[in-house]
Amino acid sequence: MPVFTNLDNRLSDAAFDAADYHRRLPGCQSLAQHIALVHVSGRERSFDTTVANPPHEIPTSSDHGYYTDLTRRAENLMGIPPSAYFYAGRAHPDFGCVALAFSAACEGAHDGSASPFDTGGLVHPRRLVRVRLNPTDGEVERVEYALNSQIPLNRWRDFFARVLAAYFPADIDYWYGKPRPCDPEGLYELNTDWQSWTFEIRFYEGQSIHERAAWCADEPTMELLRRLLDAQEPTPPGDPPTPLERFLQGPSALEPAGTPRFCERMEHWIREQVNL
Amino acid sequence: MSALISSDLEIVGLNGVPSVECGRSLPVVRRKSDGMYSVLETVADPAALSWHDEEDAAAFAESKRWTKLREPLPFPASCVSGEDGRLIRQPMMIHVATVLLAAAGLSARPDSYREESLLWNPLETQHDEIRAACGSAESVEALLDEWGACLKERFDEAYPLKTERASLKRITDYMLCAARSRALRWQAYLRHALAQQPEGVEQTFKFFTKNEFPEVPWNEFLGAIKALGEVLARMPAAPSSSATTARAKLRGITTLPPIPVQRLEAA
Repeated sequence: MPVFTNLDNRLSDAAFDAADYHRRLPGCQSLAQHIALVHVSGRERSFDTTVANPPHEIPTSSDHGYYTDLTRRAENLMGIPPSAYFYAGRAHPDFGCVALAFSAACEGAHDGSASPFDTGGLVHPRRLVRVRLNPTDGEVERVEYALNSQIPLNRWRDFFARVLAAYFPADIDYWYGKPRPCDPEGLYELNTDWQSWTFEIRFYEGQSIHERAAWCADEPTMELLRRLLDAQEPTPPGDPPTPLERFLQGPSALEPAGTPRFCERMEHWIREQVNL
Repeated sequence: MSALISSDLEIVGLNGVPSVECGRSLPVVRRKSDGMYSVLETVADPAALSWHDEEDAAAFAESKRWTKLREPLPFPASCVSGEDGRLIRQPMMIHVATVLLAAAGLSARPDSYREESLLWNPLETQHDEIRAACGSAESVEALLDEWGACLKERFDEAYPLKTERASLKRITDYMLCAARSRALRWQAYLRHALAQQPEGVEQTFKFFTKNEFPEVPWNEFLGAIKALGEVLARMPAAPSSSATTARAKLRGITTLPPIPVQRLEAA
C-alpha cells in the first residue's frame, strides 16, 4: 500500500496527528504548487558538452551516454517510458556538478509520472531502498509496490501536499528531517537516506536547459564555462548567439563564481521560493 | 542519527574531477565500520548524508562522479573535537597542479598551512602532477586566495616587461581559478581583461564579471582596466618579496658584474 493510500482514513491512527494535518494542509498545498523540480547534471556527460551540443536538454534515459543501464533496467521492470529525472526540491551532489531548477510551469509541456521515492533505488539489484513487502521482498513485489505508487504527472503536487502534511512534522523536515515512520511497508521506517522520501518526477521527453528557473554549479564548472567563452570569437551583432552564449543569457548562476556547496545553495533558493 | 566520528572515517577522494588547475571540493569519505561511502556535504547534520556501498563507490569513480585518492587521508586535526573525536568543522579537499604552482613562483605545495598539516596525495586516473590534500574549509579557502595573490604578483611583474599576451592570460586564468575572496577576484578580472583579446573583454564582463560585481557598470570597468594598465606599465622595478619571481631573477641578472667579454672571446 503506497504511502498516500487511504490517507484520509488512516489519519485517525495514533501515529498521525489529524488536527495538525488539517491545519497544515493549505500551507502544504501552496508549497506543493510552487516547489521547483531539480536535476543535477555533469558527471556521465560533462555539463559544457550538454551546453554546447544539441538538443541542449536534460535527456531521457534513451540517451545511453547520460544514464546508466540500471536506470533503463528499472524503467523496463516498471513499464515506465524512457524518462528525464527530477527530484522535487532536492539536489544531491552525487549526480553531478551543476544543479538546475525548473518551475512548475514547465510540466505543462510534458507527459510523465511521479513516485514518492527514488524508483531506481527501490528496484536496484541490491535493494537500496528498504521496504517490508508480502509475501516476500522479491522483485515482483517491489515492482508491484512501485506501480501502485505511481502518480500521474498532473496530480503529483496534490499527492505531495498531502504526504507532506501527514507524514512530516513540519514542512522544513522534507529537507532537514525524516517522515513519521508509520507507512505499512516501512518505507519511512527502514530507510535513512532522503531518496526514500523525496518525490521523483519523470518527464517522458527531454527538458531544455534554457528553460531553467535557476542554476548553481561548482567552482571548476564556472571556470570551465568562462574559459570556453574566452575561446570563442564574439558573435557579430545580429547573428544568433552561440549555444554557450544562449545558456549564459538565461538566468545567471545563484553563485556567480561557483561553490562546492552548489546543491545546498540550490535547495536554499528553492526554500526561499516557497517562503521557508 | 549518530555523530560523525573521525576514527571511523577516512577521506578516500573528492567529489567531481579536477577539471581545472586548482580548486576545492567536498571530500568523499569511507566509514570503516561498514565500508559505506558518502560525499561529506555536512558535519552538522549526519542524517542528511547519503551512503553508498563499495560497488556504487566504484561505479561513481568510474563515471567520474568522484575522484579517488591513491591513498586515504586522515581528517585535519582542526576539524575534529579533541574531546570525543567528533567532526566539528567542515573539511574541504584542495587540489593543485604543479603548473599552477610554478606560474605562481612557488617551488612546492605547503606541508602545512595555518598550523594545519597538509598531506598531498596523488589521485587515481590523474597525472602525478595533480595532488590533493584536505584541510578545514576556512584554511582551504585562504590557501587558494594566497595562491591567487602570488599569481597576481607574478602578473604585475610580467606585465611591464612586455610579456606575450598568451602567457599573461594563462596567469590570469590560473588566478581566477585560485582566487576566492571578492577583492582578489575583482583584481583577477581586471588583469584578465588586460591580457585578453580586446574583443573578448565585453563578453566576459557581460556573462561573468557583471554577475559577480553587479554594481559595476561597463564604463567603470573599462576605466578601471585602463587605470590599472597605466599604473602597471609605469611600475618601477621594485624588490620582490619572492626570490624566485621573474622580476627578482631579472634584477639578479642586471646587478651581476658585467661578464668580461674579452675573456669570453679569448676562451
